[in-house]
Amino acid sequence: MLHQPSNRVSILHPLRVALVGAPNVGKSALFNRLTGRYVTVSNYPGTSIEVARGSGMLDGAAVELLDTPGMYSLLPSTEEEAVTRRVIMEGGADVLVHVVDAKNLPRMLSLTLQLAEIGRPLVVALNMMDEARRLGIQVDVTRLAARLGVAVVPIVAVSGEGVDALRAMVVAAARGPSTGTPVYGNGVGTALKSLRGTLAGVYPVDPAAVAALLLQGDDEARAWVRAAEPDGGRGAVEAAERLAARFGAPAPYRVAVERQRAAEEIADGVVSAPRTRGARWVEWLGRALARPATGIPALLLVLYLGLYLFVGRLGGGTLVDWLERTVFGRGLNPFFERLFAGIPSDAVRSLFVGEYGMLTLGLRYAVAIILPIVGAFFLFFSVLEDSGYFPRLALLVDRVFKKLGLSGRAVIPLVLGFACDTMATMVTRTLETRRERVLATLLLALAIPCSAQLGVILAVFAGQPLAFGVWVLALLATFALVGAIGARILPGAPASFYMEMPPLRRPRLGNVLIKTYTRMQWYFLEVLPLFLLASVLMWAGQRTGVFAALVAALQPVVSALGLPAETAGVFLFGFFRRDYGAAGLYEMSRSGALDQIQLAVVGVTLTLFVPCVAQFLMMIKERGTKTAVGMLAFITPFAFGAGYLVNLVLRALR
Amino acid sequence: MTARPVVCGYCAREFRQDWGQPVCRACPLAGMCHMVRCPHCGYENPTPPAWLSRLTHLVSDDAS
Repeated sequence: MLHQPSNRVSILHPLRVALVGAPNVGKSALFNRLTGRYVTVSNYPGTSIEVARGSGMLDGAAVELLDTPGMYSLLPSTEEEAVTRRVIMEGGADVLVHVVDAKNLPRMLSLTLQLAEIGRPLVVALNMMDEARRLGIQVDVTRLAARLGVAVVPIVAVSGEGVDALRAMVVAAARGPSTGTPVYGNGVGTALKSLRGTLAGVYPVDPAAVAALLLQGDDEARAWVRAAEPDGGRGAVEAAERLAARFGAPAPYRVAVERQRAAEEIADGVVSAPRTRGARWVEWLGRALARPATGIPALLLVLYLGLYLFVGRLGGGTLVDWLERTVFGRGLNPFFERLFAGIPSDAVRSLFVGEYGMLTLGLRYAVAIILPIVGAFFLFFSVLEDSGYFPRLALLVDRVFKKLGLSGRAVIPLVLGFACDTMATMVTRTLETRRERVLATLLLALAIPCSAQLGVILAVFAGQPLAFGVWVLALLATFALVGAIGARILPGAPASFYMEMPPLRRPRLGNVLIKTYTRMQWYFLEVLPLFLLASVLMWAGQRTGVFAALVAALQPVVSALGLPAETAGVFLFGFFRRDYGAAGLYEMSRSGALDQIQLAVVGVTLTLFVPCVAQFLMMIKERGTKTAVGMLAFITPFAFGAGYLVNLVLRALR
Repeated sequence: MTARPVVCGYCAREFRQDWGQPVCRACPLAGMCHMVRCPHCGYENPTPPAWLSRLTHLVSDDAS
């Protein structure tokens, strides 16, 4: 599987052995077993990352051992990974011991291949063999070693099983040849070989590893090349850019896919796990959730059960009813009214109690309407999150998203948008291309309702199937239409998506409750002061007549949509806080002020309507003032136009 | 002191809680929300308040 081995390593100092691997694979347990009492833990120079060093004897040879921070890939995404990479790429280790979790071998081999590219002697320590055996997992160690071309030693670091054999293998590996370079297919291998050929400088590791990082656009690799090459690295950097451009997809994506393919080929037939009925079922379910034929019906079922029944009916119906009618209607509001009854000034009294009172309106909106709905939504969201469903959803929608100029990766901000659009807008910066970032920002502002707005709208539409159906169709059509048009007119390359699929798992109650509580606490602390402030603004607007003037100004617009005058207030405060506007809509629907058509019109318009102030500020920050204002200028008439169209069509069909 | 590790709810990879902070500081909601961004995939993960972390640590197996 690996290319021809290169030169031997000459050692003029105590053998330096670095333990490398993902977090939680038992590196530290192995480090403690291999080292003596004298261990030093210090920050890696210039960072806050701790690296432990110790000394010991391996098979009669004095060694210095390094316990490196956890890493998943040589292309680092954290400072910990960057430190580990520096340790191993800048010549800080003579032998690398890749510590892997025997229970999850196929997921770990991609890093083994990357370590093999470095060209240093490499030993794979197959740790946690006791747990693997207990689970009935068997690893054909001889075949794995033959396929990888390196020594593989099964061990149990905590008990010491196999550690003596590992000691001997590490010393033997140091005396033997270095590992060869893995060979990849589909143009990646050819590109790497060609780029490797352009490197003439002296590097502390095999130039193949430098070439791999350079091809993936790594900045540090460019710096190494600039320092080592006679022409300042210009030729190699240009060659890397030229070769990467030929892929038609981002180079890190292509390299990761080929590396994973090679890892799967190595693991095929090497690892066997018992296929219990339960394990088979989970495996099947994991695949089914990501395939269109089964995944889309499953998604609709999840949305119906979770959003419509649990959030809309239970949270928005039963819980809100109880809090509004019993807790506030019979308890708190009469109490507040009595408490402030003694205040002679009507202006001051109405600031706290009455139609726009901070306590009777602001507090009630926050606690009795928004909190139970958002709480139910966050509980549902946390269950999905803890089960490992979201990555499968990403894979499911990847194909559809590609037509909209997005990749499956965009599922992260779009899913987070259902919790908070402001936060999600910030997360769009993780998307690869500018085109994808702009499209995702626009779709978040336009067609993704935040948790509170979504919950309230679902509660409003409970028992109103026509209005609900129209709302869902309007949002889906807007998402598809705007996305497809945006993908055509916005310049830039289409996005690609690749991610390792974590296992599907049973949600843990403790995790779910902690996540729900944390999200609810954050949301409530943010929302309560704003709701109180909104009440004060409404009170001030009402006392000064400004509110009436603004409502009057919006009057022609709401009339054109076939809506009663009061809905102008809903739109007005929807911009201040989306959920505040939604809570107003909820109250109007409860009082019977809107028929089904009007509900559909106001629901569609309010959801598509301009984002709240916080989201708009975030759009400016992330995409720039020009783009954000441009989006606002598009969204506002689009939302009212869509509402107008819905009203026109539904009234014509009635 | 080493920051508590967080397992990302999306990609299931582990990262140090303080890695999300530099990004979060740029957000206008920072200070109010208890979210940290996974450096591997960008997903926003909720982190429990300190008292809840201590409580869960006390009742978990890791406490020993």
